[in-house]
Amino acid sequence: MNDAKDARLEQMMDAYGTAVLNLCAMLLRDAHLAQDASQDTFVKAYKSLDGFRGDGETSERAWLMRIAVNTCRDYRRSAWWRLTRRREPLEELADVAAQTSEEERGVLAQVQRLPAKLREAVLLCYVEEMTAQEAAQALGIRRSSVYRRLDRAKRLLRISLEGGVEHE
Amino acid sequence: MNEEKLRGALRHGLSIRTFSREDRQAVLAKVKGETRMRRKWTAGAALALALLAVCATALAVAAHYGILDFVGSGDVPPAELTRIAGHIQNDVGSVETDLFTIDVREAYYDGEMLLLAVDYIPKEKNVMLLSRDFEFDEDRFAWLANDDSYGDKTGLDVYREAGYEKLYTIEMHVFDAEEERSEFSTSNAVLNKDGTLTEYYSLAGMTRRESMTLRITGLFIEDPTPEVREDFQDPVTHDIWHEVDKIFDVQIPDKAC
Repeated sequence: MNDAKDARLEQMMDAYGTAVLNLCAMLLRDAHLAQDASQDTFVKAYKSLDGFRGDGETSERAWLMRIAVNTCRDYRRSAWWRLTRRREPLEELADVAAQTSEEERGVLAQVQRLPAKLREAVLLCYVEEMTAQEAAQALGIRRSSVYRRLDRAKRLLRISLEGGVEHE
Repeated sequence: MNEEKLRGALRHGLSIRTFSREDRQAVLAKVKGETRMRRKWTAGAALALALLAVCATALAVAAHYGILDFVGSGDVPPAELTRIAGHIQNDVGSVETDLFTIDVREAYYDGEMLLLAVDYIPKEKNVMLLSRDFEFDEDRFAWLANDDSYGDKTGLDVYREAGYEKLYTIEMHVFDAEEERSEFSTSNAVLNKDGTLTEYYSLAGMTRRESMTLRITGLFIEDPTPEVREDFQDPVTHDIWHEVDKIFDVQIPDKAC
């Protein structure tokens, strides 16, 4: 490790650690796996730091979130078995259950049931307050796709939270 | 869904957990110990893969096919595979809809956890299937995804080059019908070479019972308006939703009991 890289890693963990952890928790739907994935995200970021240039095209946050999203995708692809064994849904954690209303837990639960690609867009735009452009960079998709995924997520949430299926 | 309500619930719910000092220390330890760990892991992984290959081959021969197709995931310890293979049930049940045959091909149930392999077989020809968490088969369609002119194509253009005429996204969920819950469910999908889609479901943390009633419910989502599609990764836009609700109930005895 060198000092400059170490310091940068520390800064990134200060600035984005909780955001990455929460993104991973919602994408993996498991509190313990999220811890592993968020840590792996920073390890990967550390290894790639030399190649990253914050040139205005891609912000450090979008770059880091992209690593987190890809890390979670790898987890989902390769760790299905672990998911079946270690599941601890976020809304059922004692601290979350104690400090959130029943309605909020219901929303959290339904967001966790959204398809992964919709969940990614919801988390980045509504929790991380990313612009559609930043979210597009983080997800490696077009901005218009971000808007469509948000729209579709809201439609699915409306159905799951308020009942009924929309027909077009 | 009210957008502000959604934002508020998510922010509040997610503000409770933080990236802890222990998390930071774990990252630093991993970064510092990377070289040493990698050497250890490489040796361990080679041994595990060798064991898995031997075990998987033996199990595949014994069961002829399937074992929830876990063998292909490469992520199940050999001892677990052996245990699972002893409790597999084949041809659990199937149901016909206008669009699909849904075949519950394999099931494992140990009283607390249910694992399923479900095949979705389209009745129409030249249909591309996606699932709710489906990651595109990058190996199979790399020639399309890496096409230099892809940026100018609609999603359907790309699919048509591969011979597809229609597209459905399958968003089906498995329920424990008695407890009406699926919050512990996970799924993972694979697009097969014959155009069918296999989805692997699991339900864990169930109340132990000698048998369970299974229900599969959800949507087949069709996009009939290809002209508005504009990217390869998310070709579904103006959807028609075909609701499939309470398709079938099936009793799965707990063979492990």
